[in-house]
Amino acid sequence: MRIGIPRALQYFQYFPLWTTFLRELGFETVVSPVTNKQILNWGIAHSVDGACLPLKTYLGHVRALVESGIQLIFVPQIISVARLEYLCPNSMGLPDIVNKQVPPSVTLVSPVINGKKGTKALVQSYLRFGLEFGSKREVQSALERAFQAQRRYDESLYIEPNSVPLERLNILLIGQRYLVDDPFISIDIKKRLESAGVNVFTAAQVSEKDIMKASSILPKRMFWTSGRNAVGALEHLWENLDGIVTLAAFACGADSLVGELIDRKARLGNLPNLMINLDEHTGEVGMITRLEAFLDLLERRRLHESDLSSHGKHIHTH
Amino acid sequence: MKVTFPHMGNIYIPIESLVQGMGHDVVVPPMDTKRTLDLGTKYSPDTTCLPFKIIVGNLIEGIDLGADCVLMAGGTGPCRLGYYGEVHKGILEDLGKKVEFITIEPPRGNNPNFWPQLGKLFEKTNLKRFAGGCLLAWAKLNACEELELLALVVRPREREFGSTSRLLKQAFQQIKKAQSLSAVGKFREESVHAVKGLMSTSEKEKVLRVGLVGEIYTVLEPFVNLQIEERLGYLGVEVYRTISLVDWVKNHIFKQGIGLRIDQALRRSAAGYLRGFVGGHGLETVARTVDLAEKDYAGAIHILPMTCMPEIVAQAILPQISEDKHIPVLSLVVDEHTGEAGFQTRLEAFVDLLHRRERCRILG
Repeated sequence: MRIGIPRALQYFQYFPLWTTFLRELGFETVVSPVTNKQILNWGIAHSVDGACLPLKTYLGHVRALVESGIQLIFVPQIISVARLEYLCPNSMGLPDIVNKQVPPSVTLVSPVINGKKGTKALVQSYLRFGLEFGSKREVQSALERAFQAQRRYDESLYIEPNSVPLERLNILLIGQRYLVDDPFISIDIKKRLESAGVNVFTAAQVSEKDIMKASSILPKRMFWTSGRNAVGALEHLWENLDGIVTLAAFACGADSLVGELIDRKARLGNLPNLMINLDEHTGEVGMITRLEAFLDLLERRRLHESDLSSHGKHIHTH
Repeated sequence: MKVTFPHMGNIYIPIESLVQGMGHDVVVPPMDTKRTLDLGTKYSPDTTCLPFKIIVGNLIEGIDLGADCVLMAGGTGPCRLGYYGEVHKGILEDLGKKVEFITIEPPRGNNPNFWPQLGKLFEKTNLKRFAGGCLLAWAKLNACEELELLALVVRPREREFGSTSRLLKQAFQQIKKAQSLSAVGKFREESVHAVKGLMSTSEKEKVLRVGLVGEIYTVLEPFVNLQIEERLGYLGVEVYRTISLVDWVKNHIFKQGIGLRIDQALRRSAAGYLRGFVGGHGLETVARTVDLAEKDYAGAIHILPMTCMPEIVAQAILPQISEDKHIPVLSLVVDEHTGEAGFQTRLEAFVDLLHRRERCRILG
């Protein structure tokens, strides 16, 4: 059986787990193409105005799978992936949002993934889903391999912050995985920074353990996993950074508040922060100009030993 | 301490009694105005939702009137309301306003300051005094809500234009001032009687009935929803408000407090459309819209703040309910740029549509 996976939202985080698990269960996995203009347009046509860009893209990817004749689509309802945390309301209502947008001939495969009570419950969610397709022993070993693939992938990204060359600018690119890793909707910002000779850090390069430790500086525990990652990564890498680029999806509730926490921290710590809001109207040229201006500022700050203010105030009073 | 808190409809009336029961002075911030909104918009992050911004405005205005402590509601997600407090705190701090910031939320081990703060809140009171405050607050909440709901029935049938709202305003002031349960009871009874007397014909007269669903703050705060209930009333529409604070307290504090589940009925109603909680009032919106259709309401109006995540999930699902259950649904998104004229035009057009539909139905 062929099963389609939309290349959007949590796919960017969990593709090793999902593809391995589904394949082990006997499916042939088909991932939708990398986001393009057509996919985005489809997504916009299928969404309510107020939805965030990543959700619109997701619906476009679902359409792309439908157009290519896929009959089964993997649209999990992810409530939580970590104890006491949530992803976001859209992710909790995802199958119900998608359901109305696909023709009746298409079936959604929508396991409930809920790790709000902890990792054990998370694993149980996958196990329960797998049992529909195989015996307990088979599913358990499939799941083991799937989690192993995920772990291998996650660990392959981790880096030692001090191992990067000192003479280059170090920037932390903050943002949901599905923004940072999607070259189309993020206007390829990561590549653009890298080709400008900047060393780009992302939250994915910091291990879960370090993130947990670093994010405990928050007086109230963050209940969005993405927000916890952002705050934790910033705290962990703080000493190595010349600046921050924060990507946010317009209309994302989590991004709007986490963005403010990050911006405030940067402001108080005198670290330049470029905040970029992404929606379907974001233009490439304007983005390039902003990035160039930001990098110029960072270069000058380096030359002048941080003598330049990061947030518009004059440091020199004479 | 001198305590201030954000507005949401008439909730300041019971909250005042509650906080007095804790032995503190109360600074009720000025009712929401353009100034509140301007202050809030100025000092809030751009992309956050309207309730966040107006609450910032409330808190600044309250602190400027002398409050030294802020009381806020918190939460455990995924709606961003749960993290409002943490960001509000930073904004007030950056403005140089030194206040105690207390967030009331379910104690789920995610906020280490919870118990010490609660201690501070209760250090000046004793059980008897606090219980008295609670009872008074509960009586006031019930009285206010009864009058508000009654007004929704009376307004489309009032003899003299605007008389219901005028009378209501006085009644709320009397209830606010009342210091004993018996006084609240007396004002409640008198006002109910007086409001009923404003009706021209009997309650039975058929008018269009429309349900109001959506995000709790936008449904309950007239400044944010541009007095939608009054506007509809003047268009001859009886509004049914699907969100009740009295029920909210009963469900979330009384029932959930002793560990009962509260979302079964909602899940039942929403079955086939939404499978469960999505934060905020998303599930309520979907479930209540189904209920409205089944109870034969002429239409449903869905009101939400721009970028409200749970309501966007609901908004994506409502067209399907509308189609399946034959109920017209109007989604109204509000933010700081919402214009009055455009809002009114949309309401009028919607009501016209409902009237036509009714006529066609009667004529077969």
